[in-house]
Amino acid sequence: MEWNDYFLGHNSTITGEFNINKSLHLSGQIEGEINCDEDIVVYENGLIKGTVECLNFIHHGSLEGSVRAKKIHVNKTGKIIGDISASLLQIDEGATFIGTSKKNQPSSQSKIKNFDPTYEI
Amino acid sequence: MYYYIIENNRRADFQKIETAVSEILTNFDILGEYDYIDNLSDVEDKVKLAINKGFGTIVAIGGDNLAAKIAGCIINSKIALGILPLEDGILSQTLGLGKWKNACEILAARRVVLMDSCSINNKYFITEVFANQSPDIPPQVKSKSIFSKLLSSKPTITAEDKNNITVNVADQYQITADVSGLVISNIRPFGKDVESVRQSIIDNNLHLAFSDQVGSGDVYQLLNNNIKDITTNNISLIHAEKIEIRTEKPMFFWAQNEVIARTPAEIVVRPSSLKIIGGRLH
Repeated sequence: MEWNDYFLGHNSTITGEFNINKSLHLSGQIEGEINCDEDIVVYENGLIKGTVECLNFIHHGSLEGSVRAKKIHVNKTGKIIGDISASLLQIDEGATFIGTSKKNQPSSQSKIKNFDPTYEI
Repeated sequence: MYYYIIENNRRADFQKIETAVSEILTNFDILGEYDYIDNLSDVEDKVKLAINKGFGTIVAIGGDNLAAKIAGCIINSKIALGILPLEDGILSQTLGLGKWKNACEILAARRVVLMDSCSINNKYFITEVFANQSPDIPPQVKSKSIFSKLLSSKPTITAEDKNNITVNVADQYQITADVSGLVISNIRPFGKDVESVRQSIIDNNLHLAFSDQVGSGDVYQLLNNNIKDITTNNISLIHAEKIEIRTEKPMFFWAQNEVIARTPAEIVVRPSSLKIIGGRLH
């Protein structure tokens, strides 16, 4: 955690296009598109409905939509319904994942570069 | 030439060092004119007087409140603000002024920093504004130093204390939340990384913090404590160049112990809009 990170507490909702250049710590709800240059940590109360692109995605909450990141870690309380794309994927026992997953393809536009094409499932 | 403004209620503090200060300022050839004010509402007239007399630098002798009040009168002008601190304050510490002797040397060096300011409904502020539902009772916030604990108003929050807010951020996204405390800061006096705090005066960002569990004073206090307090007290923290706040019930914004705006409010960063004399920023 850094002081110039973004924090959204529970009982707070963001709607729209959320473009940020620092990490996000999410306990609230976001509906829309998230583009984050750094990491996103979704806590247990956190909920995302929409698309996410970030560097590392650490997930304890709920996501309905899609996420693309260099590394995705779905913890035991995490729930994802949708599509995920990652270079490194870790899904802990007890987590829920309903959808499709694929390895990242390198893109000049993407924040996700120099990835290690290894899965840990 | 320098114009020095002092609050009368700090006259006794200043008199203890006045001879020494005058001697140093004379040696540096920056001894100008002293002027005393009875209260902060007199600042605007004194600043106009100083400008009419041709002074290019106005120095606040005292604390952050006086400096912030003067700053509000000279933003986007050619006039530079100096501070000769009689107490620890966020501004003086952020600018690296130190105690009054060191501050005199910095005044003499006259290294001008172009600092961001913020406006709320076209009223300027340079440190922070605190939201309160009352237009009559200010949020109780007592700042002794940049990293000290601040006293706050309410230990418990009831449903009456909460207000539903909608914040439009830079025309990109919208935040909705119930809040009991809300602070908008230009300087980001959070944490203990002094350099990071100093950079925040030129970062083109304002910092919006709110919570539904504590009052505005506590939001500010908690931001200055352990960073984990943010999540444990359900504080949200957003950085942006421009925000618009609408509320279900009226919300009043306090700076220097007076209401300067109410909702609906538009808050905008004014990059490099204040000339202020400071130490070196890295």
